[in-house]
Amino acid sequence: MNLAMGGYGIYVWSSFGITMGVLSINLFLSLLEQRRIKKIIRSQ
Amino acid sequence: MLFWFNQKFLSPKAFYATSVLLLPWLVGAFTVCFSYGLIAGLFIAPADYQQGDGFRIMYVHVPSALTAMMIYFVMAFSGILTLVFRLKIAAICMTCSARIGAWFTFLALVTGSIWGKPMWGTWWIWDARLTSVLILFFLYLGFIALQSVIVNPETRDRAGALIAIVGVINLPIIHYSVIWWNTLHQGPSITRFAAPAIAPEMLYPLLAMIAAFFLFYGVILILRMQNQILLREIKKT
Repeated sequence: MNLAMGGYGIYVWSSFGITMGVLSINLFLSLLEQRRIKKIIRSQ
Repeated sequence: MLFWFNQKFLSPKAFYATSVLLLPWLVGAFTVCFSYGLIAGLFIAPADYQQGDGFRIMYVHVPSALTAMMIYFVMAFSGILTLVFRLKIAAICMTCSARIGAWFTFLALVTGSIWGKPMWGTWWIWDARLTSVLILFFLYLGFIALQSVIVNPETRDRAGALIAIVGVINLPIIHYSVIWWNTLHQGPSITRFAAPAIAPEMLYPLLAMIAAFFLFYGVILILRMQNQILLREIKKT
């Protein structure tokens, strides 16, 4: 597989990169919030 | 009967207990589908005879768009349950879904725009499909904005439910826009009543990615709903 993808590489890789970024942000923010909430519960 | 069912299965506490058991299975299924879809979509599926390797954007664009629409449908359904049965868990589901839906709609718009540039020669055009998806994005943002300005929880849930239910009219418009109007956007490749207009070696990774995105929505929804349930418990004490 050629990473340049016949000249479409920049479009394909940027699409997949943005997607991975958005999925990661969603997962990271949800886990971060859960950690923060559980910390509050433990401190009560 | 309904009260018993609600208390047994649909109360926030019952949901929390079930979701803890369900979450690892969803994460596992997502990992399998996403890994296969990603590898097969990027490296195994053959290049399209017209679009070359550019068609591979489909493996993130189509699942994003479908998930964005599915999430809004879930919101509208939850809205009905909130208004008719006043189910707390439905209101929580509706609220938590909105941000996830907005992210997926954003993703569909951005990846669509990136796909449009090499194929159509433009990043954006005001045609029916693109405009109706942009409206979906604004519906999500409107829902989030409305929920953030209303202080009273009951009023907030009811107002949100109304927006979700009214906005659902946009879903068939998005789906049929490529049939009802002349657009640059291609027609559906997979329909319920006809054989898919796409080769199996291209189709299977697409189906895997669609399943992966739906499962990912499930995972994030559960995490966010658990957070909301815990927050409500903290506020009570």
